[in-house]
Amino acid sequence: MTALAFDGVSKTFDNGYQALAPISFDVAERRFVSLVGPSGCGKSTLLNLAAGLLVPSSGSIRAFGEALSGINRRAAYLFQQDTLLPWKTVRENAVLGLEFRGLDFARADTWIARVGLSKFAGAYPHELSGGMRKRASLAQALAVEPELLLMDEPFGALDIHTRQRMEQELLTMLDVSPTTVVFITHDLEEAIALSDEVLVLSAGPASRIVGRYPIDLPRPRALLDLKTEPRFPEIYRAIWHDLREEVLRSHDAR
Amino acid sequence: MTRASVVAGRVGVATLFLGVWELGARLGALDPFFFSRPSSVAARVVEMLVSGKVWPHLATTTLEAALAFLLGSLLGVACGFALARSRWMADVLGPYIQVANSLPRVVLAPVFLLWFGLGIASKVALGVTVVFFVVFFNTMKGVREVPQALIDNARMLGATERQLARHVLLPSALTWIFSSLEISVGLAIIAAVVGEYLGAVRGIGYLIAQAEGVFDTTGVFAGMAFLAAFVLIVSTLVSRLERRLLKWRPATGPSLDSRG
Repeated sequence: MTALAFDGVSKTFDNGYQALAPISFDVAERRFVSLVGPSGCGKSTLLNLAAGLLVPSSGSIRAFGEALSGINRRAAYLFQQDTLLPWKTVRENAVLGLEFRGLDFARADTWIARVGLSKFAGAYPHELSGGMRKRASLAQALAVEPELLLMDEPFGALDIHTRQRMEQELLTMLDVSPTTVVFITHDLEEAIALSDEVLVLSAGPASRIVGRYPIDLPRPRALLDLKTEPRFPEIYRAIWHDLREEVLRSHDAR
Repeated sequence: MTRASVVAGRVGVATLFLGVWELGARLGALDPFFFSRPSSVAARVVEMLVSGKVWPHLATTTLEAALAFLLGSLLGVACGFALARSRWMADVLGPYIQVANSLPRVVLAPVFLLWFGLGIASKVALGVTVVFFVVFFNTMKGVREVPQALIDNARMLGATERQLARHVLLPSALTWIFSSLEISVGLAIIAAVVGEYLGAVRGIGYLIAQAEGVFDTTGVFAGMAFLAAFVLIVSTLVSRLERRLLKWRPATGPSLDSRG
């Protein structure tokens, strides 16, 4: 089944800026698909369209076979920014989605334990490190058991070691509860390491998809050793060939 | 700088101020008729406390200030919320609110006296006009300055408009309101006293006005002493309450952000 299908979707903002040229692609269920592209290429716009936070200017989006109108109820979204409510504790934040939907809170506690924050359930966000806050956000998003997880450079603000750990933890989480993921990053290594497929977007304005690359690295993956595997640089080189041009174009445009 | 030295310094300033005043009055440099004497004021304060004469006045002022604070806050939150969420309402009503806020509130006091009489209603009305604007502007700022990502995240988690207001927008506004609590409570007390001063049958402001009417400077200063003590106690309580309500906020100091 298709978790997410874009059919000729474009987006032009009120100020006349066209972020996306008509784009068509689909994401099969339980696949991990990354979108890479130079900064300002409309990656976040694309994700916000998939979330239902933005309405496409043309074309249609289907989520699990149904036409999307309004918020995508089957999706959870992990933002790049801190989105924990600072006046709520870790647990109060983690149960938020369940509270909104009138569901039992027990699942949130399971996820708090899975992300290793049981000891910090009563702590406020400002008492946590950046990595811990991301884990709490992850617990919050996964507690509603989404069928689709949208991630917008979720680890972008973390230092390199925390980031590697979070990436590995994310893969472990997804083994526990298989979910379709659409992941945005500008880091090609991260995209390859995590994904089943990498889509390369062209430089904006009017971005389009310039390449689709299946990643045939075996799972489960041990991320720390993955980059030394011989297949890894081959894949990297093939994708970078396309991406490089777009990165250069985006610099020229500035 | 130790705590003891600060306390010693504070006591020193008070001693110096009261000492100069007392000595000046005793040596004839300050006319006791116009300036009274700290010792006379202290004696009057004690007398008013012992006779119990001051309590009904204090109670009235407290009631007026509390009602003004509650009503003004409720109205301020409601209006601030509405205007922050509706661009149209903000554009239509904005200029009127600016004009209303720039009006000195003291000029309204006689009008309220005419409308609401000498009782507590006129003082509450005056206080409401003061508290309202503080709370209103803070609510509007609080609701408007919620980061878009927090709102988007809540909506993705399934929040309805009401849940969004309750869990995200109002708490954000409340932080702004709480951090201006000391100001709005202080203003509510001032408004009550000013209202009483201009015409009342009871209250600290009424006491001061009565004493002034018979050139009883000792009575005026005694009234001011009660007022000062009252404000000091209330603002200590308020800042304690504020600290409790905002306990989730980071204390100023080194942040843990860099931790992995």
